[in-house]
Amino acid sequence: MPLRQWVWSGAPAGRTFAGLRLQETGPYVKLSDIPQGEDVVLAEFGSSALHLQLLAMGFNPGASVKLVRRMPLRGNLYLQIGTRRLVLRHAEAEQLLVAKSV
Amino acid sequence: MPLVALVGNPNSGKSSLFNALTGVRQKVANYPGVTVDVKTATLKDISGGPVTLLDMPGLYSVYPSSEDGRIVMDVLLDPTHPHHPDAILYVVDVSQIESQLMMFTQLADMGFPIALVVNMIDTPGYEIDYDTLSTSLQVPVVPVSGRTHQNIEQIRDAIPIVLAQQTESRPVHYEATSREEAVQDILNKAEGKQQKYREYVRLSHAVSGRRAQDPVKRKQRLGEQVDETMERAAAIKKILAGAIRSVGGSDFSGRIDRLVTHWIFGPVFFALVMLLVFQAIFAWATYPMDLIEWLFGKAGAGVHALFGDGWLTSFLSDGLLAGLSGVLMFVPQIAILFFLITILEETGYMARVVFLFDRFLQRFGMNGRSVVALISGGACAIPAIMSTRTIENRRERLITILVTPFISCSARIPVFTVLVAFVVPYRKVLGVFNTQGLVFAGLYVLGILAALGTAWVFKHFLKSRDGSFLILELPKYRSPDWINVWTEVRSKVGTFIKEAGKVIIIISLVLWFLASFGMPGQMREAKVQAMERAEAEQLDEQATQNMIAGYKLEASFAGSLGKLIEPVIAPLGYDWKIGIALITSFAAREVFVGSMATIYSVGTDVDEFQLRSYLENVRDPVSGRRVFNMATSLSLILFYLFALQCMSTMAVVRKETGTWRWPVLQFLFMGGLAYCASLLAYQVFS
Repeated sequence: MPLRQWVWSGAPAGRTFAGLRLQETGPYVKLSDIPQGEDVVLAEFGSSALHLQLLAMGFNPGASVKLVRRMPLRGNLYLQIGTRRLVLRHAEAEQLLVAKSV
Repeated sequence: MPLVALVGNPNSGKSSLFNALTGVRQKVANYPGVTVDVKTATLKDISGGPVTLLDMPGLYSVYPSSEDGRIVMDVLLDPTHPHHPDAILYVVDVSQIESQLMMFTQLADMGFPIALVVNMIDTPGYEIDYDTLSTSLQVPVVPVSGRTHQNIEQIRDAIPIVLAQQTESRPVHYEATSREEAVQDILNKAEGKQQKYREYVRLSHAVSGRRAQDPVKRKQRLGEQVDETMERAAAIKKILAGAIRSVGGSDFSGRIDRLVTHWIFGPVFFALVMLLVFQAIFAWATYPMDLIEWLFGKAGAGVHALFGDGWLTSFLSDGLLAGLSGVLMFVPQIAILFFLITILEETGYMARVVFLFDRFLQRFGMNGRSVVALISGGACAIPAIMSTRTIENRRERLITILVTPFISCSARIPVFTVLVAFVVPYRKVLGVFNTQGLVFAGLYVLGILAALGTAWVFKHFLKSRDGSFLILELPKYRSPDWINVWTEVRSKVGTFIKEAGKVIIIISLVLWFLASFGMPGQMREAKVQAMERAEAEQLDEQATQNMIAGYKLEASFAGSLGKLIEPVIAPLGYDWKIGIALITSFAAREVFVGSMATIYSVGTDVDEFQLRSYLENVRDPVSGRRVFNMATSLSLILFYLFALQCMSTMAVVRKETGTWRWPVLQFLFMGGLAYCASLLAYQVFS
C-alpha cells in the first residue's frame, strides 16, 4: 500500500498545530503496527468510508494516540486517544498512519 | 407543546439524565432502523408549561457515519419533522468535555436554541468555572449529575430560558466554506453565518450514506471537514483554557482494564462471570418457579372442582392452563438473566467483552456485539434475537439470528434433566463434579459448537454488501443506572410473554385438541378397552384414570400422527409414543414433560423427576427391553439439543428479518442436523 495515499489538505510538513509539530520522521507507520504502550501522533488518513466516524471521535491529524492493549493474531486494538478509549479493528487501524510524537 | 431534545455523544450519561428528569414514565418512540431506543416523556413542572423531552441516540458529529446518527440528523435538519426540537440540551461528560464539545459548537452554529449540560460532576477531580464557560459560549451552562441527581432542578429552570433564546446574534465558531463552486454558490446566497452552516450541513447530509460518491468530491469534503474540525478544536481549547481549573486524576477504568482486557486473563475472567451468572439464575429461579407451579396446580384443581369432569374442564386445565404455565414457567429465568446482563452492560463491562471476542467472532461471520445475543440465548432465544438490533451490519446480524437458537435455552433443561439419567449413571468425578453434571455442561458446549460451526458455514454463503466496522468507544466503568435496568428487564420479559406467549398458548390449544379428540368411534372404544384392562389388573381410581388417558391418547389424532411418523423415527430409536412427544414439542419444547406424562399414563401434574423415575421402568411390550435405554435417550437428547422446536422463535425471526425465508431455512437445517446426530448416536450405541 503506498504510504502517501491522501494528504490532509493545507498541511505542509512541519506545520504546527495546537502546539504539536507534525514531523517527517521517515516513512510513517501504520497504526496497527505500533508497539504496545507507545505514544504516537496521527499523521494521515487512508481514504476510507470510516474517516468521518474516526474524525468525529477525535482522530484528527496531530491527535496523540496510545496503544493500550492489542489482541493477538491481528486482533483488535484498544487505543487511548485524548481522553477517549476506543477499540479499532486491525483492518481499520491499518488505514491510519502515525508518527512518533515530538 | 414545545419539544426539547437531549443530544450528545454516546456515553455522556444522557439516558441517566433522562431517567433523573422523567423517572419511569417513559415511552419508546417508533424509529425503525435505530439500534437504541428513542425515548420520550412529558415534563410537567416547568414554568411556562409542560414540554416533551426527547432522548436521541448518541452521535459524535453532525456529519455522522452511523445509521443512528443519520436518523438523528434527519430530525434535526427537517423543521417539519414531528420530533424536530424547539431547543436542545447538549449533554457532555465533564471528564471528556474537550472532545465532546465539538458537536456542541456545530449545533450552536446551526442556530438551535441550546444549553450546555455538564454531566457527571460527581466525578472527583474536575473543576470548571461554569460562569466563565457560559460567558465564552454565550449559552446557559448547567452542571449536574444524572446519577446523584445533583442540580437536576436547575435543568428544569433552564428549559424555559433556552426555549426563549434568541440565537441570531450569537457568533459562530466556524464559518462554512467550500472549494466546490456549486456548493459555495449556495452558501453565498445564505442570510447570515448560521444559515450558511445549516445549508452546508444539509448538503453534506444529502450526499452522505451508502450511495457511491465521486471519490474526488469525497476527498474534498473530507478535507473541508478536517479543516472545520481543526478550527473548532482550536476554538474549544481556547475557551476551555479560560474555564478549566483542574483535570481529574485517577485512571480507575484504565486500571481495571489492565486485567480485564488481557488476552488470556480477560476471557478467563469472563468465563467466571458467566459461570456465576448462570449459577445465580438456576439458584434464584427455583423459588419463583416452584411458586408458579404451585399456583397453577391450585388453579387446575379449582377448575376440576368447579366444572367436574368433561371436556370443558379438560380444555381449561389441560389446554389453557397448561399453555399459560408453559409460558410463565420461564419468566423467572429470563428476568434474572436479563437483569444480570443489563447490569454488566450498564457498568461498561460488556464493551470490554465485545473487545475480547470481536476478532474471534468475526471469523464466524459475526460481530463482537453478537456475544450479548449468544449469552442471552442461554435463557431464551426470543429476546436474544431481538437484542441483535444493536448490530449494524446486515450479514453479521442475520448470521447471529440464525445460529442463536442452537444455544441451549431454559426450555431444554427439563428435557435434559429427564433423559440425562438414562444416558450416564450418577457417579462422582474428582470429588466435586459428577458425571451427569458434566454431561449437562457438555450439552451446552455442543450447542455453542453447533452455533459457531453453522455460522462459519453461513459466512461463506452469505455475502456482505456493506463494509463491517467496529469503532467502539469504551465507556468509563460506572455503577448501573437502576431505572435503565428496570426498563430493560421489563421490556425483555414483556416481549417474551407477548411473542412467545401468543404462539405457545395457541399451539397448546391446538395440541390439546389433537390429543383429546380422535375419530368418533375410536375414542369410546379406547375408553372401554382401558377400563377392561384396569379392572383386570385391579388398578385403583387414579391409576385407572391414567390408563384411560393413555389409551385415549393412542386413539386420538395425535396418536395417529405418531404412528404415521413411526417409520421415519424408528432408525433414531423412537417408537410412536415418543413420536407424539416429538410432534407436540415442535411447537414448543416446554410441553415435553406434560406430553410424555400423558403418553405414559403418569398423570398430568408430575415434574421432571417423577417422570424420570417412572420412565425408567417402561418396557417395550413386544421385546421386553427398556424403552429409555442409553442409545435412545442419547439420541433423544441430541434431537432436542439441535432441532428448532419453538414456533415462537420462528415467529420472531420472521418479524426481525421481514421474511419467512429465514425461519423456514433455520427450521430445516436445524432439523436436519438433529436428525443426523440422533441417527448417528442411536446406530452407534445400540
